Amino acid sequence: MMLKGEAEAGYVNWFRGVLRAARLNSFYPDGRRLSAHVGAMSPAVHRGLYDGLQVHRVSGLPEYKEWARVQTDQQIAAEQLRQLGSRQVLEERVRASSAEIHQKQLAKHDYYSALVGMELSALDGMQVLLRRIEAERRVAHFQVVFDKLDAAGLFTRYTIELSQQASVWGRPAVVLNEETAAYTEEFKALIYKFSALDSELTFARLAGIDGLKVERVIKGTIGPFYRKGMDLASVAPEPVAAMLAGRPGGFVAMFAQDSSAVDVVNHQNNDPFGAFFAAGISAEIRRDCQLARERYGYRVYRERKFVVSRELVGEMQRFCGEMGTQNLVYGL
Amino acid sequence: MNESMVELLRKPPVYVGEGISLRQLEEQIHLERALQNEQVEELHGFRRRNEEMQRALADEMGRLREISEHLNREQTRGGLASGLREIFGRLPWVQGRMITRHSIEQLLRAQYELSARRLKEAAELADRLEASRAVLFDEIERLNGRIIISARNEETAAAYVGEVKRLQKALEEALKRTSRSSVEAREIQAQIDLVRRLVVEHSGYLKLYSTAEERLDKLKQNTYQLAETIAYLRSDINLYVTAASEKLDVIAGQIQAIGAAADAAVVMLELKHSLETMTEAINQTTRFVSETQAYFRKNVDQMVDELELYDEQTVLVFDENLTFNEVVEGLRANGDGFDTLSQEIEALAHEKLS
Repeated sequence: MMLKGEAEAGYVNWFRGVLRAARLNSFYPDGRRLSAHVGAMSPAVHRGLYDGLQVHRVSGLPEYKEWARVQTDQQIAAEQLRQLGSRQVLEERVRASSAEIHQKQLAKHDYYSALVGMELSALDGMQVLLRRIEAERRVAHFQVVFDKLDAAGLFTRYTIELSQQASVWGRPAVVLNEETAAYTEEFKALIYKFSALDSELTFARLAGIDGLKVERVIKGTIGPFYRKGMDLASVAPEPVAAMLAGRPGGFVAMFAQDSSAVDVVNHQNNDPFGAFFAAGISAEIRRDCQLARERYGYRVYRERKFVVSRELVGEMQRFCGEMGTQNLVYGL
Repeated sequence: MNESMVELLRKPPVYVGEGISLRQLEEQIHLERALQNEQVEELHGFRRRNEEMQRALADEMGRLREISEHLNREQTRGGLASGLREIFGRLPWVQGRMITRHSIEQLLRAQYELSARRLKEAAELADRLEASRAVLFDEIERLNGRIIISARNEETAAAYVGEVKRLQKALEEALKRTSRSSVEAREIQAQIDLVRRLVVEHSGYLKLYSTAEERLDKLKQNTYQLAETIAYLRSDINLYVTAASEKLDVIAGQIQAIGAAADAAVVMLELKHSLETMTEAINQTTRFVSETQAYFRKNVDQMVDELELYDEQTVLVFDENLTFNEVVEGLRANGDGFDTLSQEIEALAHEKLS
């Protein structure tokens, strides 16, 4: 879905408003960075240098190429500014010549200047924080945070708390230097591949690695965002499509969080749309997951919160009640 | 001399523009040449950059094309994941990374983002060339303005010099008709001198404006050539930027889905393997525990009966061991006696064996 001009600017403002309203905690991708990243897609920032904004037909978030475009532009911004030269000279050229290219070069100068220093979302960034070391047991505790724009067009953040036993056998997932911890490429690749799945499968997979003890896996997901212009009948859960039918200004934005942790008291599903978004995992693997739950002693908690257009707040709350869940529903 | 003649001498022509002198003309030409040298230098820079970019982009796009072609082939054959791993393993730019452990989606995206960056840099270069071309055409317009002014002034000077020369001829004819030392003759002579001065002065202008026109025209031709070269370079870059951009757009739409699909099979396999290993470990533990319990249950009576005997025999062996250790330690404490004894024991053992 391609948005242009006013629709493009309106979408960017709406998107940023939704992110603000969602009050995202640190288990979701950084809302501030995401907002800045999307903000750079606004025609007010790129000054008409791009034709429009392509929105993912299923997730309702901007397409991967749009996120990548802003990332690329920021990477080359400083060098481009150097090559463009001073703004004053570009302005003089605009005044002195009728050639459109001078106007374009001036717009680029302003666009790249706006991008320099902007804190954008990582499209696949991983950070490892060393929490503590138990020297006598040769065990190090880490927190791993991995952000990714996934194949479904959703932004996800994995927060994994684990400990690693130093061993001469096997390859470590995290390598410790004197003061810092760094992930190995294999470990990142493993999390990368599992990002399409839920926290439980990642927990079970990681727990099976020699020397690793997983305490908690939390997956926070931003999206999908359903609104006008999307083929809601084919991409949205039926209750959402029904809510939005005949409401051209209506929208439903979702923010899921699922946790698998050893300190969760009970298994609980507080996600009214859980069944709709469940990953297509075979019954056999699900059965094995039951064994993993017993073996590793983790429990799973799923929840989902919503930002919806003001007139849909009551309706969404009623739906959640009918599904037996209690969810945060913010109106915008 | 009639009124119009007097007027011709009294009011020389007014030239348009900033005025001209040999020094000014030289400065002007020098400035224009310096500007042109800068532009030529810039063009060299553009060319170098273009070569680098074209090479880099060709590399990047070659990789993407290779991946894309492979994907198309493998999709029909069905061996997507293993095939991709193979191709990644063969590619020199993967630089020996542990391909079997990497995510295909991750590698495809890294490649896409690198190609997108190259493409963006190439597009920026094309725009800078376009801006340079526009600057050169602006420059040509400015030069044309100066050429027209010079040409107009040249015409004015030529016309004036022509008229003044005609006047000079008329005055010289008039001088011939007058008595040589008469006042009238002196007056005509004075006018002829003034006319000669004007002829020299405006012939100079004529020459200067003509030279300016000629040299500016030459500069303009060079600038035009430069602009055309830049335009060709730009259209060359545009050609590959457009082609690469279309390719990249198609790939952007597929890359994540293809990567994720290729990974999915591996992910499921890894997960299954991991869970199976866990299940196997649990099963083995359970089997071990139950077998051990069965063994104990079966043998517990016999064990209790034999316990006393085991204990007596064990105590005896422990005692013997302890005594032997004490003797050896004592010998070790006494120094070289231990070595001597060891050698004796070894010799005796050797003797017995042989």
